[in-house]
Amino acid sequence: MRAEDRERLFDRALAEHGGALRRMAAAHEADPALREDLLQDMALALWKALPRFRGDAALGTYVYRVAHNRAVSHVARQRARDPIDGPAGEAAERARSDAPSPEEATAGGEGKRRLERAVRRLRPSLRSVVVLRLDGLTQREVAEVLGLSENNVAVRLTRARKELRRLLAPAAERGGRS
Amino acid sequence: MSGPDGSAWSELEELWRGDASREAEESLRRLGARVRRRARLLRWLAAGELATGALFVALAVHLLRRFGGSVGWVTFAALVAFVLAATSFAWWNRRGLWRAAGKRPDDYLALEGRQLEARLRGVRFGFWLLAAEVAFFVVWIPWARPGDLLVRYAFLLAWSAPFAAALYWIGRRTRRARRALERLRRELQGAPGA
Repeated sequence: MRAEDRERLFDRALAEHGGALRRMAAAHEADPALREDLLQDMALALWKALPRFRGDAALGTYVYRVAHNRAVSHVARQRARDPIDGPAGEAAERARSDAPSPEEATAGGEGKRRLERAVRRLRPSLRSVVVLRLDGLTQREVAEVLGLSENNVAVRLTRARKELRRLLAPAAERGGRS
Repeated sequence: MSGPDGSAWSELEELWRGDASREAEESLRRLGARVRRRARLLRWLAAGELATGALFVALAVHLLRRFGGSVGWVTFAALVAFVLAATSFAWWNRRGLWRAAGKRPDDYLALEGRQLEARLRGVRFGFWLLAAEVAFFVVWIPWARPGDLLVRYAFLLAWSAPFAAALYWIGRRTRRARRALERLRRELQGAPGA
């Protein structure tokens, strides 16, 4: 791939799917500073991977796949640095999640923040499916990105929705969804 | 989505995707610029690694000229050998670490695992190289620079101890990262509800 083609494709990928990258970063990292790092890592991984894009899949699917793989690596690294197993870890995660980034604060997206927090509290295997589905990917596309069977995606999605409903329920009871 | 949760799910989708602000678009443009800078930086780092090797070889040549004779030649040969060993190992140790074997998350986790293994190999090699360097200088100092042995040995210790501490610390962190990766891999590979 020529350098200018790569530049053009990268700009297109960011313009069309940059929002999705940002949402995926938010789904995997609560800390605003680390989230920005993750977003940058995802974009860098995409930059490196673009020369191997042959157009056999849609650009969107390719971007999601690269970004998701980077997010999984990030989760593994963060767990090694800052294990979040156990109640203490969950409390820390909640505290970090409650601190809005400047962007969130200006956008005033309390409902969105609550949803992101709930998604982050899902198990990684369920979280990946939910994030992609919430972003509008079909079940088949989710299966393609995650390398799972459609049936497996369906099962995970059912469990994830149930879990998500449970996680969002207390907040809904307090003041309803925004 | 179908069924009784369909409308609720649509609400969630709308909430999830509703952040297309101008500020977000602007930050994505800045992100693109940062990524290009980082890609350039990575290329410079690789070049810097080669330049460091060349610098050490130049230092060895300088020492050869300064000392001359057998001391100069032994110093030259030892420095070049250390540089060659470190550079060759670094390149060899990176084999197969650039790309995942496939496109699935499992392949990327496997790549991450291989990278951690390579780092551990690097730490072990670093310890051996450091030990070889220290052993060399323990013998070299009284031979090439007799006098003030205590000061010179203290300098050697002060120079090598931080490297040993850093290697120990990196090794510990890497082993912890490997355990965390294994846990995550089990979680992701397990049954849907696992």
